[in-house]
Amino acid sequence: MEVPVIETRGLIKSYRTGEHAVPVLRDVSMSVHRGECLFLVGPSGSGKTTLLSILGCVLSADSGEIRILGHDVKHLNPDEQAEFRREKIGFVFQRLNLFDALTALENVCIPLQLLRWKKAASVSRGKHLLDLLGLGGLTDRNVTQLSMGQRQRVAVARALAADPELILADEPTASLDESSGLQAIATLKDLCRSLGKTVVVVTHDSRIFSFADRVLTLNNGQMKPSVHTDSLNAVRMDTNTPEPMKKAA
Amino acid sequence: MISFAIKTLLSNRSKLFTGVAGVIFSLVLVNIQGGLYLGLMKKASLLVDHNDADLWVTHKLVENVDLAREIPESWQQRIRGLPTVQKAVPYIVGKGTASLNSGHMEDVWVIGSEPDSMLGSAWGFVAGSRADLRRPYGVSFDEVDSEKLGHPQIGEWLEVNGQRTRVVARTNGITGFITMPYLFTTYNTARNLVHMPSGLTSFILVKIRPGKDRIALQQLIQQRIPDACVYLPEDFASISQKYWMKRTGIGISFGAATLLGLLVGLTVVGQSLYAMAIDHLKDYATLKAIGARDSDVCSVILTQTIWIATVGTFLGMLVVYLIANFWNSPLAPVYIRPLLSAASVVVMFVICIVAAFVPYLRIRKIDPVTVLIG
Repeated sequence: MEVPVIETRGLIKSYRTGEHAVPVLRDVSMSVHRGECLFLVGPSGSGKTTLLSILGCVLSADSGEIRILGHDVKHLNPDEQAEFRREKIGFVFQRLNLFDALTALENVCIPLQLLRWKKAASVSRGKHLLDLLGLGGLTDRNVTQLSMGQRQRVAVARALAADPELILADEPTASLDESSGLQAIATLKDLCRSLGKTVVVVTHDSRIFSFADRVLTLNNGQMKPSVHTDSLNAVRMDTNTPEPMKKAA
Repeated sequence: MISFAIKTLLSNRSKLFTGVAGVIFSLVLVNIQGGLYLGLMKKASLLVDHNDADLWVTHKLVENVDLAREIPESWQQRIRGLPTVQKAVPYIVGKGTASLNSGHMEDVWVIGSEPDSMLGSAWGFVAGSRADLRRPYGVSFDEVDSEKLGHPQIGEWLEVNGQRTRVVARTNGITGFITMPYLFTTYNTARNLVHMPSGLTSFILVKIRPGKDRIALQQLIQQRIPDACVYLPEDFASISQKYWMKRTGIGISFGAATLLGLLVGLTVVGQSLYAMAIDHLKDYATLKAIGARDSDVCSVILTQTIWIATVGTFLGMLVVYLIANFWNSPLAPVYIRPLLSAASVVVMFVICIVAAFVPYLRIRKIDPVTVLIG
């Protein structure tokens, strides 16, 4: 039986505010399988980003079990967590967090530099990814000179650069208009599917739910039963998605 | 990560400029202060440094070449008798007072050299020559002291200690630590001018035969004349410099100014690097979130630091050499020694690296989770 890419059981996380501990995640159990595109949805403050941070090994749970790609990551020290993120996880941040001083290509090459790739190899890999994302002609353009949609694609290319098995995206459409948002999520899903990546997307943008293979809802730190989007798609595609994107989805 | 470090640095021009300016300021201050100090110290040993003598024989209590004490002139015969001595000649350094046409008086140093060899006589002639100094009552003065001496012209008379001397030569660059004008002349003229008692002199200058051992001769003379002090020129120069250094505390003032320069450099560079790090906290957090090690972050800061230090050093040393060339004068000589420059550059790099430590500690504390949960 195939090992899930993500498997959590009874995750609990609280934040301390003065004397009090505010629970954010309560007994969260979930699993995500290889190649799956999972959306974590829920209202603001429901714990989506905290869960994503724990899945991305940048935050530790107070208790519970968590295995990513078969590794028990709960007991990794900060250096081991960094190494795990470097090699196994690609991030697309809500604010993209591109390095403004660098070009598109240099941004994409940063994760490869962290992995000590040779310059020629990392440049070649970066150019290939930017080509795949339709930015082949903009490799040497400073990212501040790109449109928001183009910057989004650079962020996706950077997340894929080190060929990680897991891609985590935090509100990837938050800073985009409707059309660009749909295009971005379609591109992310298509590319990850073709490259065999597992994707977890945190979002509250209901326009893009139809791109998910499965949607998990968090409410007040608790996981609701998962919804497969086959039936959801039928409804949402007709109401929310423009014609071109229906095809992409 | 080098390209990331440099591009990030270049994207923050105002802080880059401040950091580079800090390095330039420090280097210029350290080198010019150091150069002025060395220049002043060289003035304290000017008569020794520009003298071809291999050994100086002095009174035991002499601590400075300008402040001589009388020794028996007859010592020169005892020294000449030694087999490795080529020449031993008396040399007078004495004080006089020049009476100017304006009615003012000016204290001067009278330097008298044995006329055959003119050992220890003036240099840097712009008018006249050493040979002219052999003329009766002939003296030379330096251009720097022209105003003090009432702008004497070649051929004019100058009265020193009530006796007439004739100005026969003019030099450039001979000015001592205590700024009194040096008048160079022959031994006998000097003896008359400073009223040196018969049978006494200020120093005996010794030239050794080619290929012979200076140290051995030094010891030999010392044994033969136990009442004398026999110095190698470099030792006597050092003693003369230390005398003024101790008496005036000049080393402390220059040292304090130099230290201040280094502290200013440390503060400015540190502040610039820290401000730059604060401006890019988001970038560093992102780097850490995507898996950067502490060593990666450290290499970014170090690269930026070394870049600032290198550019600042290049520009700073350029400014130093420009100042040293255009500002240098006999009154305020600036001696930029390669060793001083090299040491200042090394110290500057060390200071920059120390300054980088604070921003590094700040960045090290960044939690990568802030990228996701602001």
